[in-house]
Amino acid sequence: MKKILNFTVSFIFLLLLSASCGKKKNSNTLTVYLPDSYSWLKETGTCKSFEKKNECKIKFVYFEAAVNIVSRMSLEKSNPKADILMGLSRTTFIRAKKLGVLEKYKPENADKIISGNNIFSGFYATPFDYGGLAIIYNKNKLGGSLNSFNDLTDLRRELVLTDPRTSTTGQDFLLWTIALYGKNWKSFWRKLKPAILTVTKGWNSAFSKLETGEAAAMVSYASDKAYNIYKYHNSRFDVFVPENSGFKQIEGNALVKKQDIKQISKKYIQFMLSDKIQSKIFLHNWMFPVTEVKLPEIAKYYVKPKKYCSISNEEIEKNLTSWLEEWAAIVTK
Amino acid sequence: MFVKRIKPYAVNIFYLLIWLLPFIFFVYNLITFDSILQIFNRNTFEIFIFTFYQAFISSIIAMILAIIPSVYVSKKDNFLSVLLKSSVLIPLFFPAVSTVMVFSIIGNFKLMEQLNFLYTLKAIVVANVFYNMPLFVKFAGESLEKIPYSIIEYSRTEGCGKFEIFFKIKLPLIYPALMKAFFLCLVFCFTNMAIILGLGGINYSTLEVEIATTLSGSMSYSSAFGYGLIQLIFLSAFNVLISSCKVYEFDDYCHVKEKVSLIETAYSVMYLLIEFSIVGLGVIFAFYNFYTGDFELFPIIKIFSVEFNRTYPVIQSLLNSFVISFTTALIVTVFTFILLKNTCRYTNAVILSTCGISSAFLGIVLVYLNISLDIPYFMLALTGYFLITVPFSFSFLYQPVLSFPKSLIEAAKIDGCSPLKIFIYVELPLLLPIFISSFLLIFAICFGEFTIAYTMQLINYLPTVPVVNYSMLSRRLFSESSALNGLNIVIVLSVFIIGEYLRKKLSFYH
Repeated sequence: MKKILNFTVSFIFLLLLSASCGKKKNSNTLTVYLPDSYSWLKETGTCKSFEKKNECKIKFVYFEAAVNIVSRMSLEKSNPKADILMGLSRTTFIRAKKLGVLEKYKPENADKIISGNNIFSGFYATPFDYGGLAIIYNKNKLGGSLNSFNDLTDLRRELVLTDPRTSTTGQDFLLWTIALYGKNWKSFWRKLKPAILTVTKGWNSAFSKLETGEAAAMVSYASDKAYNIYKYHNSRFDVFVPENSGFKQIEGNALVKKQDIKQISKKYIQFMLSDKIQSKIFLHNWMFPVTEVKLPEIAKYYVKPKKYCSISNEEIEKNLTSWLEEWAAIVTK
Repeated sequence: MFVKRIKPYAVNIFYLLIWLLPFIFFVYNLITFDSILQIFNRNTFEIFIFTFYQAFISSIIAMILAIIPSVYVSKKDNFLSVLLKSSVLIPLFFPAVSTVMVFSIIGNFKLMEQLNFLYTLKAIVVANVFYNMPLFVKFAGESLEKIPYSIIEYSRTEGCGKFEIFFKIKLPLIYPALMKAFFLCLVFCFTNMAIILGLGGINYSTLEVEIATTLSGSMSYSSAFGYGLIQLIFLSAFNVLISSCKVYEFDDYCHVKEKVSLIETAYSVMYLLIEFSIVGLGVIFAFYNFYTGDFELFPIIKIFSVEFNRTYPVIQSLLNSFVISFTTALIVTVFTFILLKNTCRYTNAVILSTCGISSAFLGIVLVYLNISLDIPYFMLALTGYFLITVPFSFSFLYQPVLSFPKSLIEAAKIDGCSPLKIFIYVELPLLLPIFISSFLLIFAICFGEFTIAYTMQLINYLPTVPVVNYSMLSRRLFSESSALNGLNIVIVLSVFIIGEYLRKKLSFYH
């Protein structure tokens, strides 16, 4: 019995000891939660000058997608560890705002943002970049070109999608179809179902299925042609965007609501709008900057539609949960 | 007297508290009863039925296909039987993510494409069967080995034929072991997420997949908890049912190796080839790029470069995985021994109940402990790995510890030895080989553990090999990921070989 008691006490003691060690916090550390597609911020050393100037250390915490960042914030709500959230899409922004984890903040350089890109009501988040969704496809495997969304419904087990429940690209594609078909969106999805080979958790796994020839088409971004020409010196995949109804994905950064908001957090949001960062967005995030900066030559390969269709934030907030449930009922059954 | 009576309960309660307290803390803060009730609908029922169906079908097929290799293992003591037995390591160390990768490549072969293999129930069942067959070979094979030869001889004298002996004598005797393997197989298939997601696709969902999707998507912790609860209750009930099988003890253990037929040998060789070819492909892909058709040594060198490690901390992950796995294996082996010395009638149910815990949900609970109480990730990872591995260690040490000759302990007591001295001078030397085996088994499981590490986002705080590997895979660094995977396989196989060597050496001395 004595031995068991000793073991129990030692274990609890160890646990408490390590807990107290973990409590040491560094006020000069800025904790940033971001999707792993933003890893270039660390890899290219772009933020080093910010760290040096503000005598701070940035701790990047990566998540598979912005959806996971919001899930994490729902756990951290009463004791937030993050200072900044990056890469919030419209849907994840709405969810985060509803959770009450975002702090309103208008950066001093906010007037640099090109009009039409601030979809984040009342500066609960600051736009960072934007891009258009597109269907990319392997023309040879498909045996022809895609000219409309209806062409997609003629495919058989050739299209790979990302799950709107776990991926922002998936969520935005669902919103795109709702914006395009209105009340008939469900019948479009029913017609699309035979075309679907599989639905992946995130963009990366979907793209690898296209890359390896397992799938012939996928939902991706209109900058893919530019990306392929830049990286592989050839356009491996064709890009299709309906001419009069593209869909814009805008990503934003936000301050986390907490008792002591650090000054460097606000400076960081401003820094993300600086020319130094914005000019790097196209070649690293393959999205467009939200401020007026010189774009690289390769940006001409971006497939731009004449018009974008959209859905209001209010409508999304009201219906997103039911849309996701209805989508799952159609696609998973 | 009182202390002696409550001692066994105290150890069991201590274990129960380790796994219940974090959950109680989480439930108290984040779960609402009303939201749990919402999941009790037709959809959840269908998901449950499919979860059970795919797990049950896979387990039955795995059991049937593993019978002949099990018989071979029991009849022969040669290199092939050692290899057959060692295949049990596959479900324990070969990452499910790698299994999915290999089957995805196979699924893209022309013939398989024509058969519509990928993203169907076929793919799920085939991968599950491959993954879990070795469990039956190990458990059934060892159980068959223990059947005294005298029983077989008596049956022959009574005029029983080969098949009659197998179905009427051997099968009932190995039934408890088969059920134990069946339970483990069912648990693995029931809770495996990677195979369902990677090979089944969107049309198939299991409770574990729903838990993970709910946790990362709709953030409804109550719903995820509800799914987890259904899983836990079902698997615990199933375990109690299986545990009620009567175990046959043979006092006059004497087994004579028998002759095997050509068909038995050929089938066993084929089984071995299939099992190890899948693992072998994992190693080959470390040097061979399937998509470009090039052989390259470059990835294995690249993953150790300073530049590469800045983004993907391979070296740090190897170190972390080693430290966590070593510490967990040590704690679990010691704890299980203490537990087995203090069993009560509820022990079996208490320990094996943790088999039904959803790893994804456990991961989230542990993250919440870090957020709320600032408990470091290292301690939390240890707790998580401890909880998922104690049942394995318990099953492994159960028989050797409980059947340890009491006469030896009594004799030592008469000679005036204290309990510590009895342990050091009597029990430890005799049980050391089995302790080493248990330690290495837990080490291998922890080294390959993915779900908890992934859910806890350990890549950011305490990167381990499986999550670093996954991060490379998800960024489409296939060659580098395969290289790390190959290295992982080599490490665990080396650990197994060293373990076997030590076990044999120590067994020889005693």
